[in-house]
Amino acid sequence: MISLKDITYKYHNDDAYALNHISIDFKRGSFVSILGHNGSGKSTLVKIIMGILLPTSGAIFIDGKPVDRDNPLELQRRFSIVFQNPDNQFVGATVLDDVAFGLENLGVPHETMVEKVEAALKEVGMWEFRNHEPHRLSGGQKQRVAIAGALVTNPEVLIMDEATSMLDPDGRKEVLSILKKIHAKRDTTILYITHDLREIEDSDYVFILRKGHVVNEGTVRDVYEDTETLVSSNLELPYNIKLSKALCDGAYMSYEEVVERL
Amino acid sequence: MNILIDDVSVTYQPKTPFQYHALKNISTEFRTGKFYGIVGQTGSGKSTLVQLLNGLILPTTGTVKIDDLELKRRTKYKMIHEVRKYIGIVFQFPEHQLFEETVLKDVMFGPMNMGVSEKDAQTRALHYLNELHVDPALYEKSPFDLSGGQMRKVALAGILAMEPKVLILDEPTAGLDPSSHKETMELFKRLREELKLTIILVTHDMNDVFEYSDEVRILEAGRIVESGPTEDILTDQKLLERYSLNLPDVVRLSHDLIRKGHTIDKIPKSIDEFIVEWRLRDA
Amino acid sequence: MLSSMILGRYIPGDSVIHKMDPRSKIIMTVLFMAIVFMANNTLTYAALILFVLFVLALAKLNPIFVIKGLKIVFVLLIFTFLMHLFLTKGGTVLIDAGWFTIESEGIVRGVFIGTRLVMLVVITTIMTLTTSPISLTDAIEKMAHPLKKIKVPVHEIAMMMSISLRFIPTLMDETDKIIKAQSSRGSTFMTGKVKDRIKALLPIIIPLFVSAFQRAEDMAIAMEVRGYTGGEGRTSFRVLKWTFKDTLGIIFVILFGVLVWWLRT
Repeated sequence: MISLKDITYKYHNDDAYALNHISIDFKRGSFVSILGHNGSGKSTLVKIIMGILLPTSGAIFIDGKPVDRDNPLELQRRFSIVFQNPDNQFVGATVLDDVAFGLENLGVPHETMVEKVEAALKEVGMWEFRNHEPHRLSGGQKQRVAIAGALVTNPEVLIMDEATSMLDPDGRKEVLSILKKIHAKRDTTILYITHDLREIEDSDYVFILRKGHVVNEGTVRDVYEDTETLVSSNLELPYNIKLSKALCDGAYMSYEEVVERL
Repeated sequence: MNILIDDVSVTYQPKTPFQYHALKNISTEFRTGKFYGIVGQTGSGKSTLVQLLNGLILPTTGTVKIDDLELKRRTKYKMIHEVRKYIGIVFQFPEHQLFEETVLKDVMFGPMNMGVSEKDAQTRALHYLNELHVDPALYEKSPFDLSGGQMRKVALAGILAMEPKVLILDEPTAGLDPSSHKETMELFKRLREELKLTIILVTHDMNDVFEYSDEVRILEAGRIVESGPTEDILTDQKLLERYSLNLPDVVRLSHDLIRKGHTIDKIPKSIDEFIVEWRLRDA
Repeated sequence: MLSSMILGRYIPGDSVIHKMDPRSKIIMTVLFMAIVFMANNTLTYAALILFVLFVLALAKLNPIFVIKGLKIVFVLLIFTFLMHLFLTKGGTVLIDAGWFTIESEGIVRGVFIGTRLVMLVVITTIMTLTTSPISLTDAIEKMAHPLKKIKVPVHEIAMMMSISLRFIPTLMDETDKIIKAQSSRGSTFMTGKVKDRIKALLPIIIPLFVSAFQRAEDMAIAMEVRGYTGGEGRTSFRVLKWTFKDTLGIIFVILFGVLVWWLRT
């Protein structure tokens, strides 16, 4: 299991802490979401997990042992990430090259690489596009390739950093349904970072981040119940929550329950 | 300002193996002071249509008439420049077009290109920056030092300061938080009422289209397949499904309630409005 | 005009030439270039033309399509021809207009040098038309491998080349978008005085640079988190396969060189 313990971070030129005592456990195979808007500290957290920034205090533990910061590869072998902008993370000249990139870096022998790349592309349904160049793919397809490229090194945690926020509704559906499949089939932990409350419905556990603090955490239902925190974190309420809060005594209800109640 | 699109087709790279028909024999009209929503899948021709109205793309065949200005296949640049005085486009992620040394100068760029004097351009810039609630402390700062949300507002002010008669908005709220989203859309609504602007909103957000627009055009594969009043088109579930579009949330809710025996004479424009009306009903 | 330009473009295909190892294609191209410079009479130039036509056929490329695509080179060609026509002296005087003469040697040289130029351009174009840029990069990396001994960062250069190639279409789209956004704000870089036009480029260049730097930064992070630490200990997904065909091709070009050598005067 991977845990973040008491992570705090402060940028040089800033008085305020970007992150304040953040502790998160990633249970193997769980689907964890972190919700927050711009400036909530989400991206700083991701950079710390990926070893791009060093925390001011606190540490990451893997199976109870603190991570060796001098060996960034250790982190990178356990975490893979898909970023927001589909264009800016596509390294390879074609789909195949891009998925292979992480394996090349790890020095995987050619034959193994070919098999793994094929399996990963089939998993995200992009095998038939294997020889395509990135500019011939839609945003959703590029993100699926990025997921394949992230999974191909078999990480313990797959981080999705606002990976759907630049996609159109179809692209978003595409990516979310692929994730659902991965979650059902693999025991990879999924860390889903977003500002969209409608995208967390399949999560096992949710954290809400505001100005570097965890302001609420719990199951999807738990965080949905506390609408005040959601609103003050500048998150858009799904309409069933708006309705249940305004017209049904404030208790959380699914859309169907709301219709039933009215 | 009325826009009349008369049998327009747009073909990219004609007579080559890469030939592609982006728009096919489109005819439609956008009338002064109305709010239009344009919806359709990615690649349906929405962005070509938007660029057509501004002379960024000229028709391969057919004519675009903007009052008495005409855009055709071989229209001269001078005429196109004239058209651009009246038609402003806010592209997706407009903050990517900022370039000047200061926020103020950037907002003044458009009006000055259109022949407005420096003094007047500055007056306009100050006015619209104020309308958009941009903090005056930022006016002399570099636009690149602002946060994403502020950059968006500055870019918007830059288009508004050109004082167009028609405002075309391409996903203007993408990436904004809910309060900025609401604020921006309300601003467009107000501008339209105060300045009698024609507004053309291109978006995937069916809720916004339902709440703000008077009329809708649905595009599919380069054709306008549906065209009419918003409340007729966006409440027709079968029709929307045919073009893989979603029902607006408040429409879905109202339909489900009607199916359960409630009477809803007029579907409210948004969930918020629905809540207000439902409370009145209970009381 | 631009859409029919084929200089530096790659057109996927399945001809013998397409399937050859990019390294052998580079070697053959260089050899052929040397041979072009050996030619010095009608017979040898005819041999060059025949050879190039033969390669075009092997690559399943239509000579007309290639010639059309190289229009831009013809300006250079005509210039070279005219230079020789007026400046090269010798042979019989064909036209004597007092202040200039055109002599037969000038025409002969003009045609020869022109042909030489066309042959050079066509053969390199055949190479780029049949080899994807990424394979060319691979080939250059492999062939430049010995340079590592003298501390040339061969892998890094190749990686830079391949990422640049991958970003060209993305940046072209971006440029197009920015030009459109600024045009609709009334920017007039298409008309007016040269000075104004240059000034009007700033609103395009600055946003383009800002976005390119942003992309570069994102890309660097994306590469780092995917474990990229430079060429050391890296394996390669792409493998170049040198086959008998490649050896045969090179032998064939060498034999052709011998033939040209024998035919020259």
